[in-house]
Amino acid sequence: MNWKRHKPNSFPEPPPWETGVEKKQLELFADVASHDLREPLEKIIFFGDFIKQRYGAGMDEKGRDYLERMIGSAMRMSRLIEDILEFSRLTSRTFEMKPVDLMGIVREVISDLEVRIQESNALIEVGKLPAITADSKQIYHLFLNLISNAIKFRKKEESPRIIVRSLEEEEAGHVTIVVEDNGIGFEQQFADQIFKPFERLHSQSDYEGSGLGLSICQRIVMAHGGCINARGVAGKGSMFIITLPKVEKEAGRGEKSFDC
Amino acid sequence: MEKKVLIVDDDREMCTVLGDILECHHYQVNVAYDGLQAIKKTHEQKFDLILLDVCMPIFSGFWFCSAFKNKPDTKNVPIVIMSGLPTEKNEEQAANLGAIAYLKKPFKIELLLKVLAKALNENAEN
Repeated sequence: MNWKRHKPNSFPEPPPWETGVEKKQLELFADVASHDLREPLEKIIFFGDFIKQRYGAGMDEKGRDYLERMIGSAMRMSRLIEDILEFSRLTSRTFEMKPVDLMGIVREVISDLEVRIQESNALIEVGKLPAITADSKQIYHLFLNLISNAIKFRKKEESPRIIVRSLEEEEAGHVTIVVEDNGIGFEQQFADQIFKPFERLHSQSDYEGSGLGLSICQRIVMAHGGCINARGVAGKGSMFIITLPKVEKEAGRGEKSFDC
Repeated sequence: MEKKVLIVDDDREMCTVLGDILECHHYQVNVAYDGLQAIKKTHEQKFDLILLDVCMPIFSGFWFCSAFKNKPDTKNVPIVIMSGLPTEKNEEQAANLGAIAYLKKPFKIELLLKVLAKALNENAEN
């Protein structure tokens, strides 16, 4: 597979409603909506689970299957609401910028994903990664999403092999990190589409998820004044190329960007 | 002997279903609908464990946790916090206030039972 360094043409501009007062109101709305939507969902899950435990033995297999599907759907919706909330928060939160060792963050992510790594028999190689100035929690979420995706979109017949490495500095003051995998990949024509909220290349029943993971990654990288691009070959693998400034001069907000 | 659990949640429906679940699994259950009521209940009787929600009107779960853990006679009673709050900060705050575990809502009954059993075991060992 020919992995050429990809140069993006432009940054997506934040939409006009993501500024000032409207932005705060949107965040508040997301908070309230999230809380109020989650509460009844939690009840569906609890009551469903309780019915299964207490009365499951008296049901036939079909009845238990329906109940299981109902609980599963409610759980998925709850995760979706959480992702939407996280996504909306990324536009308005002031980041806590401090020196961050990317190596340490990636190790933390790998440790937190231990169960899924073992279950999928994944092999993750981590090259030498630099230290940068960033919001450590957001960078953690960035790598968590990217590495989780690499495990999730694996080929059925092959164990996932994931490489996280940095590229030699091509632009002064910036670092470029690459996360690549040998998974199912995607057609290059969809490379921009996969970063759009709720855009999916696969059905929910094949690969579970909210369709927000990569949008969240893009927001995190953009808020740090960086950029993220995807290269894919269907059936062979994907590569995500992240360029971030080494030192952020002012506290990061979503509006900033740089030419890369 | 049945372990005594105090469920603290302003959502009465949640108290009912959690209470039913725990009674089914041989816990003795009592409920309080806010932090202040919970403090009163813990004055009246001793509990083996507190299952505590965070977002409650007036006296929140964190307020209760802090008050409860600062009293010498109750500081060793394990508190399991359950909350739908999404940020890691809340988990951190719960740990700082002395909670033994943090259950992120929504959770499955199986997980709840595991966490309660573990909390009670750990507490017995100490």
